Amino acid sequence: MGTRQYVIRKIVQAVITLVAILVFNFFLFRVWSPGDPVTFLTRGQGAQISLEERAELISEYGLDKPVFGQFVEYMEDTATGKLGASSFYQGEAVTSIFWRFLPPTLLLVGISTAISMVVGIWMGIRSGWRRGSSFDRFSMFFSLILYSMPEFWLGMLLLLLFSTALGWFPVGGRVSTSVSSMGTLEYITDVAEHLFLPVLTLALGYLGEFYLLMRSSLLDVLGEDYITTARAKGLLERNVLNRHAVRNALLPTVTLIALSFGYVIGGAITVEVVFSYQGLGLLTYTAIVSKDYWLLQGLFLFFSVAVIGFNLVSDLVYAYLDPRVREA
Amino acid sequence: MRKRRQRVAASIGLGIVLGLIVQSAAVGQDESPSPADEKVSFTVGMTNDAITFNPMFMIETPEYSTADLMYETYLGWEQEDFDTKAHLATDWEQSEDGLTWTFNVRDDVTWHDGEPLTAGDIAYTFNWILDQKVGNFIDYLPYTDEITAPNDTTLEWKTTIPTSAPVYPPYIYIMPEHVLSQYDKKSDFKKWKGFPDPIGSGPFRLVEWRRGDFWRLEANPDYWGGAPKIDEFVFRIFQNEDAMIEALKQGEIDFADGVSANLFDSIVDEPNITANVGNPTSFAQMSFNQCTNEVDYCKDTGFTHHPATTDPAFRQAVEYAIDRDVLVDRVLLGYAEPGYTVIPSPKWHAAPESPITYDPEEANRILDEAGYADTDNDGIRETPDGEPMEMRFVVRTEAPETVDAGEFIVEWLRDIGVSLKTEAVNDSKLGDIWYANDYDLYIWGWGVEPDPNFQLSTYTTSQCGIWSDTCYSNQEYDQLFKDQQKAASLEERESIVEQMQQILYQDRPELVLWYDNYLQAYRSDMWTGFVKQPTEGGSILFQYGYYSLLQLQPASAAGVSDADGGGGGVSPVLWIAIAAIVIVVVGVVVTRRRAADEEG
Repeated sequence: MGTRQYVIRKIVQAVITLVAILVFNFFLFRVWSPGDPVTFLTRGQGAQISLEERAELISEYGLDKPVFGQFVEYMEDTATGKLGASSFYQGEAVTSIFWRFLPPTLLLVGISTAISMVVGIWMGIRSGWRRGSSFDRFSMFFSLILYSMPEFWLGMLLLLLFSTALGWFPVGGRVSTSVSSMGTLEYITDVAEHLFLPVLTLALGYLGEFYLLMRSSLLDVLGEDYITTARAKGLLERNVLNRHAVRNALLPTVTLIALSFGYVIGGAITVEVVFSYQGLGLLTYTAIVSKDYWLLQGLFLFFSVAVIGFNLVSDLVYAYLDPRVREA
Repeated sequence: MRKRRQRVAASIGLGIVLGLIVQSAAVGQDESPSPADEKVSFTVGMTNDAITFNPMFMIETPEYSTADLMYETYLGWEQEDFDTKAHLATDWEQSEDGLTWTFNVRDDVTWHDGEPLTAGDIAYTFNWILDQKVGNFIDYLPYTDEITAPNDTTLEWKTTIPTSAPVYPPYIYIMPEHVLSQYDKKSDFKKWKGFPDPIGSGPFRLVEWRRGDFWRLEANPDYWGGAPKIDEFVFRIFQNEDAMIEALKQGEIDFADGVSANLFDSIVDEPNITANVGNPTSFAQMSFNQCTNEVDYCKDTGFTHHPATTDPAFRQAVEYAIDRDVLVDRVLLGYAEPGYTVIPSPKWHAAPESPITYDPEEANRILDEAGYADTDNDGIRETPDGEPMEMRFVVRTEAPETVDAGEFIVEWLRDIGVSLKTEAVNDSKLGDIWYANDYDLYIWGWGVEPDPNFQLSTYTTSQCGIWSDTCYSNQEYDQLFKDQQKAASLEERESIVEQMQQILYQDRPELVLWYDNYLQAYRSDMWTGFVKQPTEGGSILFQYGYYSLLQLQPASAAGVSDADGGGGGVSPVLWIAIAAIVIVVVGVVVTRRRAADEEG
């Protein structure tokens, strides 16, 4: 018993959360927010927008319907994947905007998270295993500094060092302006050059979290009786660490990994600004500033789906790794 | 056994990676072409992204800067002084009764797709704007009765009253009839974002648009005014101005436009950069809420403000309390001029007859006389009705200089017993506050075109809720605005425009604080050929016309110096990749050996 029920329960929970978020989104963006997007749109149009044209725009965006009617329409549209058109991008579909901004964000935040995860966990294991060693003290010091440093500040320091002083990397952007005349390899190198500094910034920024969690959870585990037992059995220290300690200590980290990937698509707005790297973080900022309800609503939906989805994955993986969870 | 296989696999993988790196480095060198067939590409940094390049529906500055390179106007602006000059139309005359303007149109102009440009295209564009009520352009076509093209080289513009408006000249991009006629509705045309396949008649054409990163225009070698001396014009987007200036220092971009004062100050002394301080084309103003129930829009939509903002004596006292010279020196580091009237462009600018300068004692005297006394001795005056002189004051986070200036102004007004509560907001929020007329004072600014018509229109009563800063309403002013549109001669119009500026200065619905210099910078080691417009202290690019644009060329080509960008060599990414691989390999070898030792 247990496993199937556990899985079903988790999936149902995720779906309920998602629906609650949908309802909340609707009220947040349509009912409670001040100012209307038509005002914002017409201002840019200048002097000659007539009252009729204004009314036409309002009805085009469905803002003249009663709130309940708007809500029903919103739920129908969401269910059928129609997320509406952005007002800021002058009528472009929200989904197409999202797909345009997603790849650069996945590339930037995905790679950074992966690097910081691998390096952070490795450092955490070494540090916890040799607690009090000079490596431990140094990496603790180093991680705490990085962990508490704002990412945009770190980014600017790296930019000053590597771009301004040394001139090794471009100041910002995703590709060079000569990209259309490049061969494949040149193109890859070019993208890598532009990615290097923002990825380094984010990887360093995220590192501390993984490191600190892995280290403390390994320390907890090392105090357990079964470690003493393993040692008493005369196992090699390496095997005690890898087979007995690390496997158990990794459990909390699995949750963190899944959650981090859930936030990956949210982008990294401060780093995106510093390196002029346009991803979903900046898009969200633009949508907020320009009161682009449809775009914001769509983005919040995507972000919610990602976070809920990865939460679900983490629950399931956790259950797979640790039978105690599903039996409980 | 298992281990050995791993190691073999690892070394094969390593070999492949190294091979790729060496190959790509080699490819990089092989393909670096000889200077002769390399494209001459000029890159400009921008801090605003573009949303559409559809010439009828643009909003942002970089969009207009781009359209200026692709689409042309039928009349142009002189380089020396912005006077009206021939462009697509070569000469023109007004009929005896003043109701018909006749233009001769060039016959040697072709669209980018090879079709000839005719007077019919111009007439069609103007009529389309009138029919579809295109907000961006319709104000340029006032009092129009009929615009027709009797033949390919003649344009006739009939007006309902005698007016010189057709030669002011209208800043309207001419589009091909064979493109525009495909669209019956404004909303259908708006869906086209001006890309791909834009068809204009200008010296450049948009060929690539990587949204969020850059867009690239290629030169039109057949341009009737002569082919540009560069092959490509590239706009590159930065999300912050500091990065843009760093890129200029690194030579990643060639030109930075509209630089803010403090960053400009940091590059003035850079060796390979020329920094140009251009005449002001914009101003910053402090607006006082002028809404009253007399103005329909205010009455209908409601408004909230302190009673004193509509009292002329109070506004005059505030002007006496403000030291414009200090704002220019301390906030704008000298890259501005104290401003008083709303038209900075030299041709139409009217200096105030009796400018008010800093004199806090006079400010206090005026407030005393107007009945604002500090009745409860808390340092803050009260209105005659007993309401404390405490006001809301909004400044812009997107323009840090307004925040700094705000701090000075708060101090100065405290000296005359007026308390300001400052709120710093983004422009979107300020737009809401302004639109709802729920404020006492705010600082914002305007970029002003060479022709004063649009700027002056924003102070007319009917603009409340549209462009009016303060919902200012003055019937005499409204009448003068119409009069200047109708003015039959330039002299007549000049005198009316001057009168309007004086009225605004004396009524002071808003205080113009300063005129911002137009700050631009470029790599002088790489580029030459810039021409100023106007000749005296003008801007060096993004002008009204193609003066610098068609002269711009690499400094080496003009024989100034042989500046090499120095881009060669192996990319640092490759070095880092090689280093990373070496570290990993060494690490793997060491751990394996240690593992082998332990197990063995």
